[in-house]
Amino acid sequence: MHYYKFNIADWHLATSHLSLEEEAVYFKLINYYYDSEQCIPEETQSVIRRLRLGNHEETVGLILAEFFDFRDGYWHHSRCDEVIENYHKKADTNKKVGKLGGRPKKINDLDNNPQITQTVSENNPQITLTTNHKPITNISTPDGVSSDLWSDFIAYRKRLKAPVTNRVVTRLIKESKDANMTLEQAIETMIFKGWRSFDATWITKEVKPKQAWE
Amino acid sequence: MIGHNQIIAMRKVGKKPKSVFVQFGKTFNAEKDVSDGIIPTVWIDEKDHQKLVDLSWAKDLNIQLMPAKDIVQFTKWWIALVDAEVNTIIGLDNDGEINVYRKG
Repeated sequence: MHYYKFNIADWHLATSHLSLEEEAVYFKLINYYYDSEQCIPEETQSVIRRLRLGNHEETVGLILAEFFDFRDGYWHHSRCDEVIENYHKKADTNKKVGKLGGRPKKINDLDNNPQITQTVSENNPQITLTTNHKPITNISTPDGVSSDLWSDFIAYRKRLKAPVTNRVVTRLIKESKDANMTLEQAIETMIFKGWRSFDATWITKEVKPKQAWE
Repeated sequence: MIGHNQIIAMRKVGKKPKSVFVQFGKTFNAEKDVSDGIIPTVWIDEKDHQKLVDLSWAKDLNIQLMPAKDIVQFTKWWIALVDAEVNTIIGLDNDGEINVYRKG
């Protein structure tokens, strides 16, 4: 791991009794530990050489004895081990989540891309950027959709924090046509199945009855 | 809570859903999910309290938990499902984050 959280207060507390030289040696050893994700070997010469601490061998020994635990032929640092372990756990979790398709895109990314909607006045940079992404809240009920279902749909999207914009409706109409469904059927399907959005290909790839149960 | 009775009935005859949606809010035709054979959904009403409902139907199942009204409600139900010894939970929280839990 190439970076880690550094708690300044904790560090000061733990190293307040050290000289500047001792503190620097400790810092370099810790950085080596994180960077290599390895314990310090008993034969410290290779580490000392790599960290250019040739003139501070005695200090290295003092720091190792004070802050590290020697076992199984290596100098271990409990906090570093804990941080490295947590890092790997998180990396594993991220990997699993990635396999599931990663984090879902936020609605802002889909409908209100600030790269498109933000405007900057070239003449007067003092003017505040405007995003113009306020959702349109009063979209009238589209043709062929009952007002009850439409109000259910608005409430449903609101719960998902996904506002209904003109672009959403336009896309929905297109996808429902592609799926050979009416807009009302598409909306019903979305609510019924708990979908955040609607894609015609999902209909054709729909789980077959027997596959949902085992 | 609606939709769990159908899952219990199916489990009694040896059928087990591969996964179950747990959705908050207004209920829809949960019974139809089972009769159609699609992924069943259990709807949780705002009045339901996670400590007062019987979640034993969820034991060893794979749950897909949908966003609740807020992260507090989401977390309470998440914990209740873990306590009910579900197999996995894939939960989409209110920030759009995917959360994963696996038993053991």
